Formats: sequence, C-alpha cells, structure tokens
Amino acid sequence: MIHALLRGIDRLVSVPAASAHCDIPCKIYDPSAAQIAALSVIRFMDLINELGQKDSLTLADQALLARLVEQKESHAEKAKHEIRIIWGDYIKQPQRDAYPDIDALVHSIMLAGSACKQGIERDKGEKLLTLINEFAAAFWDTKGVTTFTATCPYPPSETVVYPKLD
Amino acid sequence: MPIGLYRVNGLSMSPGLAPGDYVVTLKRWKSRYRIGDIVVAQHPQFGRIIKRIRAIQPDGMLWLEGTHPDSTSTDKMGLMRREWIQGRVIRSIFQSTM
Repeated sequence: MIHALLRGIDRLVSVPAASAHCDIPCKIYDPSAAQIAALSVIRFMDLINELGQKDSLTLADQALLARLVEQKESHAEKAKHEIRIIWGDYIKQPQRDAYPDIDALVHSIMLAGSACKQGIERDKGEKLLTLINEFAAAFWDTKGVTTFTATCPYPPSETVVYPKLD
Repeated sequence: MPIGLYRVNGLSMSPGLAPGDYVVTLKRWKSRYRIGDIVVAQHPQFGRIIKRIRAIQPDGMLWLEGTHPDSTSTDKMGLMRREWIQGRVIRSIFQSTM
C-alpha cells in the first residue's frame, strides 16, 4: 500500500532514480557460449595430442604446448562459468520443477569441467560437451524452444544441440 | 537534504532490491558507514547509483559492490569518496508481488 502511494507521488513529482547498474543487459542467457567453450576444450586436447605424436619438441613446440594447455584450462573454466551464470541467475523453481535433475546435472558439469583442466584425455572433453548439450536442451525447452542436434561445421566436428528458431 | 527518496532502476541489487522498489535514505552529519550498508551515491561516471558498501579504507574512502553477479564490478566503480555518498538506505518499500 505504501508502495502504491509512493508510485502515485512518483507519477506527480517524479522521484529521482538510483541506478542498480549492471554491466550487461540482464535476461540474455544462452548456453551456446558454454557449448563453444567445451568445443574449444576438445579442440585444444586434439592439438595437444597432435603435438604428443612428435618424437621431440622444439622450443617453439614447447611454447605452443604451454599456450594450448593454458587455453584448454581457461576454456574449461569459461564453460563452467557460463553454466553457473545460467544456473544461478535464470534457473528458478519453475525450471527446477520441469527438470528436477538440473542441479545434479550442473554439478556434474562442474566436475567434468575440472576434469578437463586436469587431464588431456579427449573423452573428458567429450563428456563435458555431452553434459552441456544436455543442459542446453533442457534450457531451451524451458523457454519453449525446440532443439535439434547437428555436427558443428568446424573442428572438432562434434555433435551440438542447437535451438530451432525457424 | 538529510532524507532522500529514490526509485530503484536496474537489477544489480537483486534479489534484495528489484526495479520499481523505493528506498528512503538518511544522511547525517558525520554519518558513520559500515560494511554491508546499502547506500545511494553520486558516481562521477555512472551517475546516481545504489550499491552495497564492500569495504571502507582507513582514510574513509569506500568500495562499493552490487549484490547481483552482473553488477558493474567493484573495480570498475573504483574508489568512492565519502562526499559522493548521498545517504544510507534506512527503509525499502518493495513493489508488492502479484
């Protein structure tokens, strides 16, 4: 009631606004950033394993290896971060009701992401992507958007869940 | 003016404060601010903002933060002078959820 009164006063004399300023517009949630990060992780694993085929590494190879490892880890972290944002800011009770396992799924993505930081085994990257694809399918479904799977048209040519936007 | 009334815009103070809520602020002479206080401040770049006090330096300068992860970051807002603080929120009037 006090709020309604204040709103009335606000309409008459215009109460000054105090901005709870955000860096980015809210309500923009899209799991594609996490999917691309997971694809990048797999790609970096492939490139690292390619280097592993060599008998010996030159200084330049070693420098490249250091870069690839660093990028693999930061992209695994980025995938975790992007999922956490959607989970923390977008997923609320209605989405939980529709997907009761969503918390467990997000937790398994966190673990899979960490495993990708620790190791260079491709199957760890594939697992991360699979789980994030599962999350993406659930996410789009909560928004009433249907999805389809396709092979991404670039390396590492893995299966990705995409929203069908007509 | 010691007492201020402001309408909240933006989401960076959610879930505590949502857009459309009103806040009443109080500024006393030699107001003592504490970490965790919600304050309205005049920021040289971002204009009038509402944020939470994250830290207070021994020299009295303040660091602010939002309560939402998307908030403009503490680092970006930078160090705040006490004079820029327009008051501490003493009362929030929430938009009734329908």
